Amino acid sequence: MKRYIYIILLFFLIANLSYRIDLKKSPHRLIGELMYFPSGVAVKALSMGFYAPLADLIWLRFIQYYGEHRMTDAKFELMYHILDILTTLNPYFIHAYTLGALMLTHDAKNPEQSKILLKKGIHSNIKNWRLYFVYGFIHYVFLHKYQTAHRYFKIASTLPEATDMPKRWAAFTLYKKIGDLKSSLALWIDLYNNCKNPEEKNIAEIYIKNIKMKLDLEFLNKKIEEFKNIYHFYPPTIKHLLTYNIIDSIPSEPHGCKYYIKNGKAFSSWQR
Amino acid sequence: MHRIRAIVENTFKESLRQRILNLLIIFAILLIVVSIFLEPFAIGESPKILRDFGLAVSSIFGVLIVIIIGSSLIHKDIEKRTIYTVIAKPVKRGEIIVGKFLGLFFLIAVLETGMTIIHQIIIFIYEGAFDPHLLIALPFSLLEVMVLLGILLLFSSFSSSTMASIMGIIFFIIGHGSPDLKLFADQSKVVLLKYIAYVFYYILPNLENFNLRIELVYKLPVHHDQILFSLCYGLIYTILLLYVATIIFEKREFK
Amino acid sequence: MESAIKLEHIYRSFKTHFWQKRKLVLEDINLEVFQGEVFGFLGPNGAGKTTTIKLITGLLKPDSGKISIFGMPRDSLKAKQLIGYLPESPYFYDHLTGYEFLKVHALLGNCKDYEKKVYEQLEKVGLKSAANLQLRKYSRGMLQRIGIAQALITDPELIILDEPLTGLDPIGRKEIKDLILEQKQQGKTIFFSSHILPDAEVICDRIGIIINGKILKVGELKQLLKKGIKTDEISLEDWFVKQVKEKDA
Repeated sequence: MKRYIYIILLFFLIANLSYRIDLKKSPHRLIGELMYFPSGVAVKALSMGFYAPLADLIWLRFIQYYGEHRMTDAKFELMYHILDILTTLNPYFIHAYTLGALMLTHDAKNPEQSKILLKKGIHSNIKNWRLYFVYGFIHYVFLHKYQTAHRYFKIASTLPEATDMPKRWAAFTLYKKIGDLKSSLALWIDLYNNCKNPEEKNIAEIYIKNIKMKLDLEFLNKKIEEFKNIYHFYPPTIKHLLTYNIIDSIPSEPHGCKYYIKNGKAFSSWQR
Repeated sequence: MHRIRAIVENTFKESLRQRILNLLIIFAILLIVVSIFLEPFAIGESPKILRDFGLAVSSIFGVLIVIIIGSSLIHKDIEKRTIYTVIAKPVKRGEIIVGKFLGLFFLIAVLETGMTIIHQIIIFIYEGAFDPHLLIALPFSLLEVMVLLGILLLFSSFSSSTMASIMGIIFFIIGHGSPDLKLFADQSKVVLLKYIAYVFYYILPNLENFNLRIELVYKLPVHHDQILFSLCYGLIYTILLLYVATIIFEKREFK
Repeated sequence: MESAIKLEHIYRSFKTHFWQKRKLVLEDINLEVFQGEVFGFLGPNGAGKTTTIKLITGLLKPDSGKISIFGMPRDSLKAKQLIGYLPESPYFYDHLTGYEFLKVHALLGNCKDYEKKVYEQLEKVGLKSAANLQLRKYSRGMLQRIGIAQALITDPELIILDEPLTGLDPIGRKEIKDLILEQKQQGKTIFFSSHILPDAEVICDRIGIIINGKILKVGELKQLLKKGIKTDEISLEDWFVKQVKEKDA
């Protein structure tokens, strides 16, 4: 009996140490690990035939890499490198292309790399509508190249298994102007509702909240001007707009923050 | 103490006579060949490759010896019945386990130290200076050897040598895959699965704790607490393994 | 007389495969070996001799029953300190030299002055010239002698030899018998097993006979012979065969 207690105590000690080591581990560790990958081709040669499981493993690491850097320094220098290795190992890893391209553009601010990545994906998966859709999406939302976007949305809509999302977006590119926040919001909400991947939803959510906030601020600024025209002074607080019956209710800040007025302009406390 | 010493010496000599230290020559040749032939391909990366390769191969050699010789440490004695006269002497079973452990461990320590010296010499020849920073890898590589040897002795204490080496390999793979296990635990949405994964993560030997090779090659910062905790982790884990191995070995009979 | 080994109601069974029923190998063994005597443990192959010896030396554990060595439990280090054991057809570490082999066992047996002891024993068993030869180069007889040397190196009170005479030529057997008698003269207790009966006739004070896991007879050699056979001219071997046949019938 005494022996079992010793063993259990030792296990607790070990678990505790393990936990402490994890706390001390260098945040650079993962980058180091990824620097270690020479190139996709070399990794493939060294993987002894287990391409797909290795690609899966890299995907897991990639997600961790992404998460860690988004929480800390928001630097994603190696993102393309990892995705390139991954898709060399498993060229049919659609998610790595679509989500990867989105992250490359949104987080790493490198749309050129995301274009290369998507082209690589389309080369291996010529009939996959998602790749065309994301290609169009990036041109539409980030690069503001509406003709290219329109063309890719149209191709995507004709491919097998395509939902009606690319068709809707193709229509948007024709009839709605860009820079118009409301249509932009509608598109992001559409994307949000049509994707199942949590990371993708996350990105969409960020944009939705941002656009919603911008719309709110636009609305509030208009009302502030209205207030000034009537009462000849700027409302010192948002509440004044309410008490003087300029607005019916204060819009809720989508990030859970507060709107306030400074020098006659509306701001969100999220912006600070 | 003198009883453990006798077993340590015996194990050390017995393993030494299997010409393990010849691996040093193979290691030196490998390193030289790699550094000569990879030079044109590496395009500026060759100092890194020489370091990566040297550290990796010396670690792999250690692990291979543990798995190949460690699995037969106890079994060879039982099969050849050489253990009979040892058991009949006034020796505790735990002393046999610890003696066997230390005997092979010392041999691997000698081997890995030798490989580290050769590695440094080759770096010196190519670059005109030693890279003392890399020396930190040696004790950590030995800690990994320690834990693995403990695992092999644990399985040798009750199962066959083939089984012990298979388990050694499995634990080696699991031990280096533990970051992925943690990742799985972190992201799992099923609560039960999450906790099971955490329990396994904290209980199974985490050999990645001893893997500082990348940090050392890139001269990335390593927290000194991390070094200290990893050292304790390796030692305590080994003690636990040897303790359990002793308990099982005490019940073992020799038919 | 005080007992050196005492076995009380020892049972032991084995499983060859886990799905098989346990086979009883030793059944209610009661045996007492007194201090200072040479006890021959006799029986055909497979009767349970080696199993009994392994139980005494701690290589096996009994299913039930009690074993004591000079009144102490057999697995205590104190009891083990008093035992010298030579296993049946022993194999030793091939790569060790005779000297190294004895040194290991001297240290394991807590010998203070091991170097002196090792050379003493090498001298005694006539292997001094082979001290630095690796054991794999030893002949069968030399191995048996170095085996006895490791058993005697701690100067034990009780010497247990499992088939010490098997596989040796007549000269080798003579040497070992002389060694046994020499130990007896020093007041040591010797317990040895054999299936070759004439050996026992020469050196034993008492014998025990085991057949199919049961003790058939224990007693002084002369008494047993008187009871079993009519004239002294028939050897123990003939008597033994007769006993076994009677038992089977």
